[in-house]
Amino acid sequence: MNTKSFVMALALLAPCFAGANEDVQELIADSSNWATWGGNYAGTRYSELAQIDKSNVGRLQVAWTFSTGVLRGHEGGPLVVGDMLYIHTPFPNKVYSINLADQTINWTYAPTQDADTIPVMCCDTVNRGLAYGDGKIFLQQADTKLVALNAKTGAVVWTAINGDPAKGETNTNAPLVVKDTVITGISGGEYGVRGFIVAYDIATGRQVWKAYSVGPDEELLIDPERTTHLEQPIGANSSLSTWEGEQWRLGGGTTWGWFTYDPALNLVYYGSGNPGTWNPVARPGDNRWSMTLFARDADTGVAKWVYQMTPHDEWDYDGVNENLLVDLEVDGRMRKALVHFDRNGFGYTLDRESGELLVAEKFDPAVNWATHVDMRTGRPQVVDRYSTDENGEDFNTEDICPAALGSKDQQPAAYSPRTKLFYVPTNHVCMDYEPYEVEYVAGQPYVGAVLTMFPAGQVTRDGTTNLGNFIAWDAAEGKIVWSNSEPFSVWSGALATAGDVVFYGTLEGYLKAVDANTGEELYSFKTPSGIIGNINTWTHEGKQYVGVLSGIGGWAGIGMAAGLEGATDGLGAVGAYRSLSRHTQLGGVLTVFAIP
Amino acid sequence: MNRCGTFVQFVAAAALAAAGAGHAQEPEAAKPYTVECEPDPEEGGAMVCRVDRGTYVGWRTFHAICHTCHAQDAVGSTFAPDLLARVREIDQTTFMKAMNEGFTGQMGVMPPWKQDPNVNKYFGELWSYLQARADGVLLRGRPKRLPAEP
Repeated sequence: MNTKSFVMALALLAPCFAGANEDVQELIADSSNWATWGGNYAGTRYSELAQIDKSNVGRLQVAWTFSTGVLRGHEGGPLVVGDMLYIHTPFPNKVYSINLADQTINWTYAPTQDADTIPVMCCDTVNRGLAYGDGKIFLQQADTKLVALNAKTGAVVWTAINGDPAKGETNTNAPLVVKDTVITGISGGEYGVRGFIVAYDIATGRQVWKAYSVGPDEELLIDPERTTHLEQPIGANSSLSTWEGEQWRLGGGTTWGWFTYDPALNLVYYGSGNPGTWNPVARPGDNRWSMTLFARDADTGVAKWVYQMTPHDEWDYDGVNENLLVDLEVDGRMRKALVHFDRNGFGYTLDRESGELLVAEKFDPAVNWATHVDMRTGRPQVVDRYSTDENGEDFNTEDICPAALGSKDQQPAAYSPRTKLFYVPTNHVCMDYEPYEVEYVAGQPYVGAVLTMFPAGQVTRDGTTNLGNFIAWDAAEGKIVWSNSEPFSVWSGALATAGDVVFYGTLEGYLKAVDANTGEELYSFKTPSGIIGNINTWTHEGKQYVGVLSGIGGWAGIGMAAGLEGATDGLGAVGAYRSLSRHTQLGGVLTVFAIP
Repeated sequence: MNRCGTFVQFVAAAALAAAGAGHAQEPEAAKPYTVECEPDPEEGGAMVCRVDRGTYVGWRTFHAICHTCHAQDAVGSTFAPDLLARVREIDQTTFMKAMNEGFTGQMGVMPPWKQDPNVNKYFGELWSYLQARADGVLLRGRPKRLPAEP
C-alpha cells in the first residue's frame, strides 16, 4: 500500500475505528439485513423475518432481477446492509453495489486478474461471496488478492496478497469479519498446496496471525499441552509425526470452506481439506491435521481444539463444510453445540467449547465406506473393501459411497430454532476410485486417482436414479426427519425463516419453498439458470424479500457430466446426468422474490 | 458406428500389420486404438469395452486430470467443451500443439501441459482415447484392458 492510499484509508476509517465487531453484530441482530454469508456468525442461515410464511409463500412472485453479466458457476449469495445490496460474480470477481430503492447500480468493482489463474482452479472459477464490516466490503479474489472496498464508493482501501497462483494457490471462499480482523483461507487442494487460515487487520490489511493445517507446531499455532483432540492434549509434533519425511510440505489441508464465529467463546470454526495427493498409498500415516475441524482463538489464532474426521483420507472427503453453532439439548443436557455435515457422509455434533464428540451418524443411508464412528477414538471404522489404500495403487475400488464430491459439499445448510431441525442440501452419488503414483510439480495438478461417479442407486440397487436429496436432520439424535428426493444434487445454500418456510435451489434452476415441519413443497419457480448459489432474505422499507443467485457451474457442472454443449446419448443410469442440459444453460442472474 | 449389442472390433492398421492377421472389418484409415466391445457376463451382461494399453492409459490420464473440466467420458461441462466434437474437427498436430502450449477457448482457459510429468508423457495415449470416443467406438465408462499384445 502506498502512502497516499494509506492516508486515505485512515481518513475513511477514522470514524469507525472502534469495534468493527460490534458494528457487524448490530447489523446481524437486525434481521432486515443479511450482513454475513450465513446471515449470522453462527452460520444458521435463519431469519426472524416472517412476513413470508407457510400460508402465503405460494403467492410469491418475482419482484426484480439482475444479470451479473458473467457466465460460469455462481456460488454464494447477496449481502444486504441497510438500503444497499452487494453481489459478486465468479472470475473475474466483479462486485456490484445495488440501490434497493430503484435497483440502480451504485458502484461496480471490476478487477483485472491474470487469466493464468483460471486453469489452476480445480472445479470452475466460483466465488462464494463477500463480507461486510467497518464500512467496507471484502472480496477474496481468485488470484488470492484480498481486497477491502469502501462500501459507499467501491474505492479500494487496501489489498493483501494471500498466496501465489503459480503454485496452484487460489481463492474461492467468502471471508469473515471477526472483531478487527478479516479471516480468509486458501484453495488448491488438487495442487499440493499446504492449507492455512489468515487474519488480516481490518484497517490496514496487515497480517495479524496465520495458522497452517499441517506441519510444525509453531506454524500450526498449536499449544501441545493445551490444544486438545477429543479433550486430550494433542502433544508435541502432532502433525509432523503423522507424515513420512517432508511430505507434510505438500500436505494439503486447504481451507476453502466457510468460517463461523462464537463471540462469547471468541472462537473461529472451520475445517481443512484433503491431504496432498489423492493417492493414499503415497502418504502413510494419519496425515494430521487434514480433514479436521478447528476451533481457534480469534485474537491469537491458537487452536483450542481440533478433531480429525477422516484420518488418512482415501476418498477426497474434504472437511471444509460449514459448522453451524447452535445450542442443543443432547442426551438431556444443554450443549453449546457445533453441527457439521461432512463430505464423508457423517453428520457430526460436537460440544463447541470442549471439542467433545457427541453424535456422529450417517446423513445419507447410502454411505458405506465406514460402518460407524467410534465415539471414544473419534475414528471412522473403515470397511476393508472400500479402502483404496488397502486395495492399493492401480486397483479400482468399486461402489464407494459417497463419491469424492461428498454426501454434501460446500453448499451450506440452515437451522431453524423453531423446529430445532437442520435443513441440508445433499448429494446421492457414489464412485469407483483408483489411486496411482504421480509426481509433484509446483503449479500442476497433484491428484493421483482415477474417478468415475454414478447415482447411488447403482450401489444400493433400490431402483432409484436421483442424485440428490434435501433433508431435515435432528442433530441431537443423529436422524433424518424427512427427505425430499431431487433428480440432481442439491448444490444451493438453504434458508430457514420464522415463517416456518425453508428455501433451497436446484440444478435445474428451481427455487423451492417447503414446509419446515414436513418438507411439503409450497412454491416453486424456475429461475434463468441452474442454482448453485445461496438463498438469502432481507427487508427493504419494511417488506420482506428473498433473493437467490442462479448460474449453473461449479463441481456440480462437472462431476455431474452436465455436457451442456450437447453430448452423445447416455447409457442406462448415466443418462440421468445428461438430462441436466435439457433443463438449463449458463448465466448469472440474481432473482428477488416478494409477496405482491 | 458401434451402437449394436454384438461383438465389434476396431483394430489399428499398424497393430494389424504387426499381427499379420487379415480382419475383414478394419476401418478405412489407420486408427490409433484397438477397441473391442461386447456384453460382459462378469458385469451382468452389460456392454464392456476392452482396449489396448495406450488407449487405456489415455482413459486413465483423462479421468485423473482432464475430467475436472471436460467431465467424465470427455463429454464436456458447463465451462469446458465436449472434446468428442472438438477432436473430430482437428488433426493430431493441432491437438499436440494445444496440449503443449495450452489453449484459450470461448469460455475457459486450458493450461499448457508440457511441464506436467503426469500428463506430458501421455499426449499420444490421450489422443488415442479421445479418437476412440469421438469415433463412437469406445463407449462410456471404464474400459478393460485387452490381453497383453505379443
